Amino acid sequence: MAKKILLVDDEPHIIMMLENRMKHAGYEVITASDGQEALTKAKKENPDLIILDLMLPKLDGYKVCRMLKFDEKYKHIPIIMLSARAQEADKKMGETVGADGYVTKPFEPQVLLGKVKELLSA
Amino acid sequence: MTVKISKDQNLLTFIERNHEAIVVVDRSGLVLFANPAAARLFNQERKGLCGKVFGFPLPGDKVVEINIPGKSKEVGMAQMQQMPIEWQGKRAFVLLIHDISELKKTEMLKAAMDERRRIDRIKNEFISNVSHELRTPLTSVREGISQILEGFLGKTTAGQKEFLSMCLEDIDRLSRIIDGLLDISRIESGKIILKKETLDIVDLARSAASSLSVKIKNKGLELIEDYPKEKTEIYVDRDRIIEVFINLLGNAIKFTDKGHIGIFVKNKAKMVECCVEDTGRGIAKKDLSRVFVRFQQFGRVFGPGEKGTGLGLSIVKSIIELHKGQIRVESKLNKGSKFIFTLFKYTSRELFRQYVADGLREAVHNDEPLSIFLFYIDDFARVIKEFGNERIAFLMNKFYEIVGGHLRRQADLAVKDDRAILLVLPVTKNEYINSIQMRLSQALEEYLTKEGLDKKIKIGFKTAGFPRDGASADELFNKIKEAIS
Repeated sequence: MAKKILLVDDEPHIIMMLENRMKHAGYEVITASDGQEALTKAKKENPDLIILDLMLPKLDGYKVCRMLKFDEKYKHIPIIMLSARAQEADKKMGETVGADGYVTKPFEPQVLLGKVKELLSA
Repeated sequence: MTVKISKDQNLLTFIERNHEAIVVVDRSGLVLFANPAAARLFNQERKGLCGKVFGFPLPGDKVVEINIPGKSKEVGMAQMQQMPIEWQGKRAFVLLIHDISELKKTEMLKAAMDERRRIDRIKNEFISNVSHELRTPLTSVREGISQILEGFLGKTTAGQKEFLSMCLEDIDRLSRIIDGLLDISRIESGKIILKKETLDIVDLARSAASSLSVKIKNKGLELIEDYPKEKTEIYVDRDRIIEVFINLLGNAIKFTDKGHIGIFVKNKAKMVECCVEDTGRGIAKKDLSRVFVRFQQFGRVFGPGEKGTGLGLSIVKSIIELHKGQIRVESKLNKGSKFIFTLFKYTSRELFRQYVADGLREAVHNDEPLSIFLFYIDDFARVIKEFGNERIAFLMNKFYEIVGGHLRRQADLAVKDDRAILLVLPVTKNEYINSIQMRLSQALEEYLTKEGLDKKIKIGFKTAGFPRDGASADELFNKIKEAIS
């Protein structure tokens, strides 16, 4: 059965393209466009992996990540932060809230896909 | 209420010996009496004050602030209040003047620090917002083009593929330019605080060379490395200096089609000289003066391959200058180029001073206090004569281990030379300072006793703290340096 990935980004273009990319790679895709929706869908749909933007309306990516990682029921879901913020401090913050990977935008498809594959097979 | 000054000896002693300045003036403002503290405060002889016009308006019922001559060049500040009294049968006023210069100085320092932090924060937010705003649209452009190229949206012709590939390359270049610009703005705004440590520069050169050795080999070039045999220690930011080497090597590889790439380190008396040379295309004489200027690119390669950002050498130069070093270029067209940079080797005194300065900058940046401690061998000239260099070097190494073993936090820093160990710690509470001193002195003395040296070698100790003893590295360093010079 295809693995389910939750894509979270507030940029419709990025969502559209990433969805296309992930479907081509054989994954099932669900999407969310703000932090609150991300949290709700993560809990309802129980995806195998989450690709999470940081700067999100309502609830930022750090908070979403922390709330999931501090919840016994959902902390097993791997989370990749996908962010245009590339400073060291941002990456550190990602680690602090428990993200499993950090990929900066613009991303190379192979890097992102590699990370997804690695985390799904772990 | 009118106070009558009596001939009570106790009261007179109290006034004479008081640390607060006390002045009596008559109703026309003439000084009738000034205690020694007042003379000190106004930087005048007591006799010179008495009988003169006081010169400050009387405060009335309020407490007012007045300017007083400060220590050195600054203007001091004092608080003054008055009380009516009877002085030798006439109505007069006693003025109590309390020096608040130190308090004001600390307040001003704190205000300046707050302001700097505020500007830092705004700048940092701006940089990261710009970065975010530029990268986000770039992300969908890049991803869209990638997917068309990969055929997700149908077959593309060879011509379309070629053009899209070029677009992709330039998107990546644009994104490198954004990175570079952010890097430069951070370096130039002083946002980048170098994380300096004492390191062997050869390790850094080797690590840069090995990360690019495959690229050099793939281009059919030879890699020549030449380093000093002895340890060549230098006080630098590891990642930044590696970045410099990688940048220079990357350029060398890009502009060289045959021959070799060289990376050399020379250990000179007062400095370390590093050189990256190539046998490539070289730079024309007329362009040499502009190589470190932003967005100046020469001898661009026509055809495939990664294009430069025009920022690399400018970043390199900023990093070297941030380290107080220098960089220059020598080049002959069609023969090759040599980029040579020199970094200052600190003497241990200068190194100690640098550690103090860096610790202080970090402390100011983090809004933390700072203390420096110096443990040193007392009467060093005699000790070294009696025990010899080797034995004392061994002893200092032991001391360094002992001190290192007592450091708790990651921010704690210790550095040593032939006779002293300097500690830089972000604490200032007096009880901590005392307990650190006690703990370490005791540990060092125990070792001396164990070795039977406690009668012959004594350990000295000095300390200075920010903001207690000063706000500049020199003020702090001056407080401890006499012990080791």
